[in-house]
Amino acid sequence: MKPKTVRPPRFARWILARLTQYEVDFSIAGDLSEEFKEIVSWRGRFYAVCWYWGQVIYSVLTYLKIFILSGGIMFKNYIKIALRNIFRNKLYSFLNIAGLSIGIACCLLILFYVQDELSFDRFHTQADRIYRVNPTLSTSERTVYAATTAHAQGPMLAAEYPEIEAVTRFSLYGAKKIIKFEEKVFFEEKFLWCDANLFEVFSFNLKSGNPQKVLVAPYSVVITEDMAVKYFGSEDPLGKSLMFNNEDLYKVTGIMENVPKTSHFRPDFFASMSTLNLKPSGNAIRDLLTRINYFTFVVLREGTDPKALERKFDGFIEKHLGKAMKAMGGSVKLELQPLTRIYLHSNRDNEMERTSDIAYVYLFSGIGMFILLLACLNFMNLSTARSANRAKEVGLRKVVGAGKPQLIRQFLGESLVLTFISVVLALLLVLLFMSLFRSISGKALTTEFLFRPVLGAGLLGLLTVVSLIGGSYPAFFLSAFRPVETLQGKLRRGTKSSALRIVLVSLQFTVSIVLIIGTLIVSRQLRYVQNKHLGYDKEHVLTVNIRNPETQKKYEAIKSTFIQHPDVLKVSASATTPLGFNDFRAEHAVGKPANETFMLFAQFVDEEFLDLYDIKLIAGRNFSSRFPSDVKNAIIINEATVKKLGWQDNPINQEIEVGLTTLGKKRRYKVVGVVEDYHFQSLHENISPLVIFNSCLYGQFNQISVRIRPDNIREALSFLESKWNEFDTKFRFEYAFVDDQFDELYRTEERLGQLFGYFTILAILIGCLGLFGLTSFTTEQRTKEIGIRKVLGASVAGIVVMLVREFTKWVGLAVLIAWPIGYFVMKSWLQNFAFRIGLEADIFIMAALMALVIAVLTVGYQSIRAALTNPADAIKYE
Amino acid sequence: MQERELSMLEQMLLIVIVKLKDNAYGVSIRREIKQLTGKTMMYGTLYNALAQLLKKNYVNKSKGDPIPERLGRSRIYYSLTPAGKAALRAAYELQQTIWSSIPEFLGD
Repeated sequence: MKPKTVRPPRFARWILARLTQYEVDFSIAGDLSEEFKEIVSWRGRFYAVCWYWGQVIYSVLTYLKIFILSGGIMFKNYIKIALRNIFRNKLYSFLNIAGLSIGIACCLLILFYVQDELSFDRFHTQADRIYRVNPTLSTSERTVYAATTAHAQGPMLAAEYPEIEAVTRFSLYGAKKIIKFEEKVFFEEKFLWCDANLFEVFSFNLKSGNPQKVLVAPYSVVITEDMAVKYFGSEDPLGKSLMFNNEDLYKVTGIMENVPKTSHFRPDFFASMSTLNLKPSGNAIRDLLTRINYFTFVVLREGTDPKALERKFDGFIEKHLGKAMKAMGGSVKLELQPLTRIYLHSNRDNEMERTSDIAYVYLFSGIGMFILLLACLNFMNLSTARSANRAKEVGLRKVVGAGKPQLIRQFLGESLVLTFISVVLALLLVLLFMSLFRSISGKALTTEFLFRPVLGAGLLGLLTVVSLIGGSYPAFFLSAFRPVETLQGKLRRGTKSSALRIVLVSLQFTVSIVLIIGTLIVSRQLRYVQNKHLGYDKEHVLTVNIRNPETQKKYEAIKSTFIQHPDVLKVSASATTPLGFNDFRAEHAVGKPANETFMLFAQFVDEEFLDLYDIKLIAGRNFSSRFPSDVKNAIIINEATVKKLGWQDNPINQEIEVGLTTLGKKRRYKVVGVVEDYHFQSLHENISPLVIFNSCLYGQFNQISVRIRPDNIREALSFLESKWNEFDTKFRFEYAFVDDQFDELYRTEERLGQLFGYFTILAILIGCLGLFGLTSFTTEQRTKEIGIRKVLGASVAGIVVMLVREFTKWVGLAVLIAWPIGYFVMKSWLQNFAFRIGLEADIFIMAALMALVIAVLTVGYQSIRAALTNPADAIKYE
Repeated sequence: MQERELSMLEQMLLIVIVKLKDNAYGVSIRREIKQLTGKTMMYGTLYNALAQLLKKNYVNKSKGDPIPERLGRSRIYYSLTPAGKAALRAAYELQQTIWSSIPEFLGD
C-alpha cells in the first residue's frame, strides 16, 4: 500500500485542527488517524473515510456543546454584540436576512416537491420486490414500448420460474363506466379490473371485508371510502349492488381507504378479474400476442436478481414465440421494471395514469441548490463587505486583549444569529406560499412535512452549514488582522477581499442570466406551440361527450336541433377531435408483398368533420352520403401515409386492409381522399401516418363537435345545454373547448415555464439585494474620493457613470459565462419537441440586457445619491 | 462545594483507565469500552467525558513520544489522581449500598 493512501482526508484534518482544546487535551488527530489506518486495512478506504468524517463532524458538535456550556457568559455576550450589530446596520441586516430567507424558503419548497416525487409507490411493504413486466415489441417498422402484456403472460411466467412468488394483473379494458345505485348515476373513469390477490401484493388498506376473499367471486367490486360516501351516503355499502353500464350488477364486497396520493395509479373501483372469465387458449401465439392490455406485476422471492431473471425470460420468448417471431421478422423482449421506478423512470407508451419524469426532479433540485447557493454567496458577500468597516473594531478588541479564537467565535456567532432569524422567516414564508406553490406544482403537498423531525435535523444542518460558510470568511480573515495596521486605517479599502466579492457577484449574475434565458425560451416555445398552424382550426369549437348509447342513436335529431341556432355554424360527430387517435394498428397496403404491414394511426369521423375543423383536402374528395359505398369501405389518408406507402403518383382508389392475418376477417378499404398533414398528436411528435375512417362504418363516435360563432358564446352554450337535456336526461351537458384540450397537452411545460419564471425572479431579487448592498458599501468607501473629484470639477453624471461602469463590467463577464451554459441547457430541453423554435440570438441579447438594466438600476440609486452629496460633507467624512 | 456523583460513563472511563494501567489513551480506551460493553462510542462523547474528568482533576494526563503513525502526534496517556481513585471507590461503595437494599431482586 502506498503511504499516501492511508492519510485521512485533508479537509477533515483541517477542521480537526480548529478544535484546539481537543488536540491539547486528547491529541484527537492522532487518535483518529491511528484508528483510521486500521480501518483502512480492514474495511477499505471508502468506509474509513466515511468513518473519519462521521467522527470529525460528531466531535465538532460535542466540542461546540462543551464550549457553549463552559463559556456561557461569553456566549451571551456574543449574542448581545451580534444583535447590536444587526440593529446598528439595519440595511445590511435586512438585505442579508431577506436574501437568505427567500433562498431557504425556495429550497424548502423544492425539497417538498422532490421529496413527494421520490416517495411514489414506496408505501407498499413489498415495494422493493414488486416488478412490472414490460414487453418491448418490435417489428421492422416500429418498436412499441408497452407497459402491458397479454393476460396469459403473467401466469405462464409464474408457472415456469419459481423465482416469481406471486403475480397480479390489472386491466383498464372497457374501464370507463356508467355506474348507478338507485337514483345516483355517475360516469366513472377510475375503474380497474384486478386479480384476487391484489391485497396480498399491494399494501392498500382494506377497511372492511376479507382481503383474501373480496375479489374472488365474479362481479365483485371493492370501492374506496370516497365512493362509498358518493353512492351510499351514510348507508353501509357492503353487500349492496352497483349497476354498471346498465347491464351488470356488481356486489360491493369491500371498502378500502382511498389510494394514497403517492401511488402511480389511483383507481376508485377495483373489480374482480374473474368477471372477465379469462381462459388461456393453449395457443401460445394467440395467448401472448393478442389483447396486450393487462398490467402484470410480479413479486420476486427475497434475494432474486431481477436482471438474471430478465435474461431467463429471453428463453421463455424463444420457446413459445421463437418461430412466430422469425416469420414476422419481429422480436419481443420482457423487462422487469421495479414498481418504485415506474412513476419517474417509465418510458412506456401506455401507462395507467400520467407519470412524471426524473429529469424534472433533477432540474428542480438543481435550481433549488443554485438558489440556496446564491443566497449563501449573498450572505458571504455582504458579511465580507461589511467586515472591512469593522476592521477597526477588530483592532480595538485585539488591543484590549481579545484573542483570535474569541473573535472567530464572535463573527461565527453573528452569522449564526442572522441565519437563525432567516430560517425562522423562511419557515413563515413557506407556510405563506404553500398554497401558491401547490397550485403551480399541481401537487397536493401538505405542511405536515414541516413538523417531521427529519426536517428539523435538516434545517439544523443547513443552519450550521450556511452560517459557517457565510461567517467563515470574516471570521478567519478579519481575526487575522494586525491591530496596529487596522487602527491606522490601512485596511479600510479591503482591496484583497474585493476580488472575492467581484467573483461572487459575477457568479450570482451568471446564474440569474441562465435562468432568464431559460424562462424566455420556455415561454417562447410554448407560444410557438400554441400559435403554430396545426393544419386545423381549433378556435371556437366545443365538444360534447356522448356517454349514453341511447343518446348516440338520436344523433341525427340532436344535430338538426343544434344547427337551428343562428350562432351554431357546424355540427359533426366523431370518435375524437383532430387531436387524438382511436387506434394504432397494423395495416397492409394492397399491392405490396403479402407479409408487409405498416403501423398506422386511425381516427373515426363523419362527413362534416373536415369542413368543421377546416382541414384541407389536397386530392380526391370527402366522405359523402351521395356515394352509398362510402359507408362500407371509404377511407381518407394523410400525406404522411401517402409517403409511407409510396403512393405519391396516384393515391386515390388504392386499397388497404387490416394487416394482422391472425385476426381472421379481412376487410378492404378504398382511399377516396388525401388530406394535408395536421398535428393529431402533440408537437413533441412528428406527424405520423394516419388513416381516417368513416365513423358511420362502426357507429364509432362518442363526441359531438360544434363550431360556434365567437360573438355570443354564452348564449349559444345555454341553448345547447337546454336542448341537450331534452335528449339525454341521465347525463348532464358536459362540454370542453378544443383549444383548452390542446393546451392541456402542454401542462407540464407550462408549469415548468411558470416555475422557471418565479425562480428567476427570486434569483434576480437575491442577486439585486447582494449588488445593492455591495454598491452602498463601495460608494461609502469612496465618499472622500467622490468629494475630491467634485471639488476638482467632475460632473454628477460623470461620477455616476464612473461608479456604474465598475459594476457593469462584472455583469458583462457574467453574461459571457452564462451564454454558453444557457445555450447548451436549453438546446437539450428543446430536443423534447419535434417542432421547436430555433435558439435565436435575440433571446440571449435580451437576457443580457435585462440583467444589465437591473444591475444598473440597482447600482444607479446608490451612485446618484453618492454623487449628489455636498463635497464639503464628503471630505469631512470620517 | 460537594462534587456531584460520577455518571455511569465517567465511572466506566475511570475503571477502564485503571484496567489499562500504563496504556490508557484515546484509542485503547475506546476499544476497551467496546470490548466490555459491546457499545461503540463516538470520539466526541469520549472526549467530552474525559474533559469533565480532567476538569474535576480526577485524571492526570501525560504526553508520550511523537509517533509517525499518528501523523507525528504523541499519544496522551491518562491515569487516575488520588482524588479520582477516591471518587471511584466512593461510587462503588455507593452502588453497593444501594443495590444491597434489594437482595430479593438480586437473588432471583
